[in-house]
Amino acid sequence: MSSLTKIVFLLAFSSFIHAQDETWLSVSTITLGLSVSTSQAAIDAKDESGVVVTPKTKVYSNYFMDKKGAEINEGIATITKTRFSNLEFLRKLVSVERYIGLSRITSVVGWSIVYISGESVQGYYIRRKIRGGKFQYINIDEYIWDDNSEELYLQSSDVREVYNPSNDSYSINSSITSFRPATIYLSKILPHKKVLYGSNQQETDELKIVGIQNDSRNWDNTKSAYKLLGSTVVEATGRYQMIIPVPDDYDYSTDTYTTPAIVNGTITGGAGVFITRNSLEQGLIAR
Amino acid sequence: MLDNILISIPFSIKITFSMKLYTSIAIIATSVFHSQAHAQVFAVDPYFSGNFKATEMNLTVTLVKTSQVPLLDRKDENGVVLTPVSKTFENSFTDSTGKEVYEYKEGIVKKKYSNLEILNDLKKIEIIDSVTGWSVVFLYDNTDMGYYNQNTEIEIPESVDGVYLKRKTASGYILKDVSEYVDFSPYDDSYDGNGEESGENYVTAFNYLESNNYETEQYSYKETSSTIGIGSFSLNIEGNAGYFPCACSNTITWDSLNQIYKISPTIRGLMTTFEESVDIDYDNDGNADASYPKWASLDGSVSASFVSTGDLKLVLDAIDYGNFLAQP
Repeated sequence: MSSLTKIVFLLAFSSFIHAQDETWLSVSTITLGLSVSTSQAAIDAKDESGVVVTPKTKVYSNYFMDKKGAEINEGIATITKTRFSNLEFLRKLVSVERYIGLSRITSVVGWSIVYISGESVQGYYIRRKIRGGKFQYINIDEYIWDDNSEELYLQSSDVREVYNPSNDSYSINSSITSFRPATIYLSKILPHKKVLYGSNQQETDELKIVGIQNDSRNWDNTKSAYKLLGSTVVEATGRYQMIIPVPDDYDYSTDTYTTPAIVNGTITGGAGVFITRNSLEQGLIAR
Repeated sequence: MLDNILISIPFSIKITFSMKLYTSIAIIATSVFHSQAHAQVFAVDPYFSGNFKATEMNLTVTLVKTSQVPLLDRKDENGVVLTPVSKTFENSFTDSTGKEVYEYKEGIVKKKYSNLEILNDLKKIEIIDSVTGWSVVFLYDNTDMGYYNQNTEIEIPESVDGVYLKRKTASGYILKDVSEYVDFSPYDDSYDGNGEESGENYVTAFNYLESNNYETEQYSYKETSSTIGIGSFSLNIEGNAGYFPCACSNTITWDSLNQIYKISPTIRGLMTTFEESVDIDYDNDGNADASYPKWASLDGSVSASFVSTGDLKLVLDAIDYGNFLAQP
């Protein structure tokens, strides 16, 4: 949204929301379609004569002397892609929450990942339906968040605001389609036990994912809020270093080694549905 | 003209494949198991005889430039369309019933930004006089192998890794180094999410077999690899540089005859944004009456395809002295 448009919206919004009994928020279901690629050892370990050792173990390379006296160096590795979808995210979330002593989520059953946006609220949550048609919510901003610090939107927009002084009424019609570079961070919930190396080789557990985002939204006059029609981040890509334990039967100076992992895929947000801010607050499970 | 376009990072060609490939790829893991032997073999590189080669690849830029444009007819304070009709982003007026109306409408237009547009932009900054006959190529060499070779008598030539313009002549080719303006980095090791160098940005599937019989002096090596990781592409034709790592896939095959790897990288998912001024001419007199700063973007993919491998010295001559290059 351009600064000018935003100002107009804010002006309209601030005056209009006071006329509303409820503050409405748009809830969009998030689908993670990511994969984590790593290089895997794919050749049987051999001894110094080139004989496969038993029990068989896969290694990246062998170095031995063959029967003709030639020194042989051979290596085979494959790229393994591991799915990282909502299920993997939620499973990791359960274990992390348990590890840090929280009991907000003890099972993945029934939980979905959502993005909630509206007046004063913007971020990722998980939610599940409980009795009485109500929902429970957990804010997961510490595990996944967008970097919207830079307003780099390109947009196609059609906005019309009308104020009628005769009855002090105000209406807005607005539809916006945005196109922008997306930056999404994942933290603590990456697959496998690992640590990331960030700036100046400092350890961090944040994975930065960049991609290209398209989304569209319409203003709802009755709810006085934008409703997300859909959002897609394509070519979402990031990388980190996995820390892998060295197998016990290998003599090596450290207990672990690092290997790169590439994250790639899509992140989509479904069409939004409205909830009231009160219902979010009532269903929110505090940290 | 693309002003202040940023896609990606400063120049950092990282075609350090060779067998040293493994020193920087997932063989970090290998080193756990065979670090000592591995280091010995790869430090020697007995197969390399100082046969320095350069490989030329056609660079195919498939980008789209997206800009924002105004879509409203400009109106006066009563909502009447002004003549001559001109477009604007917004109007504010009071209609005939006394309602106060604010309207804002903009759209996006997309234009191709490919090799031709790059050439045109380089022409505008007088790198070339005409786009005719020029193509955009990516060159890389195997000079890295010289550094690992134990034969210190081998003189290692200057590396040509980078992006060039190439034009055929009656007797050969001319190469112009434009790496200052266009950067193609299939692998960008310096990316860590914060712009700091932090190791490998790719994972690799590889299959290699090296045989070295010192008694019979017989040596052989073959390898095929494929990688996925993060690469980058940048345009720096007028102004700034930026950092936009994107997904890169590649296949790598060892060319034992030329002692250089053949690669086929594709970087996709590129996107960068930059500010451009959208000028509006109210009275159609050719002069801008209003200017709106708006975001524009470039997005798409860039790939490189193998053309040929030739003698590095000939390539260097063509670059350094503008001489004609008989090959590749």
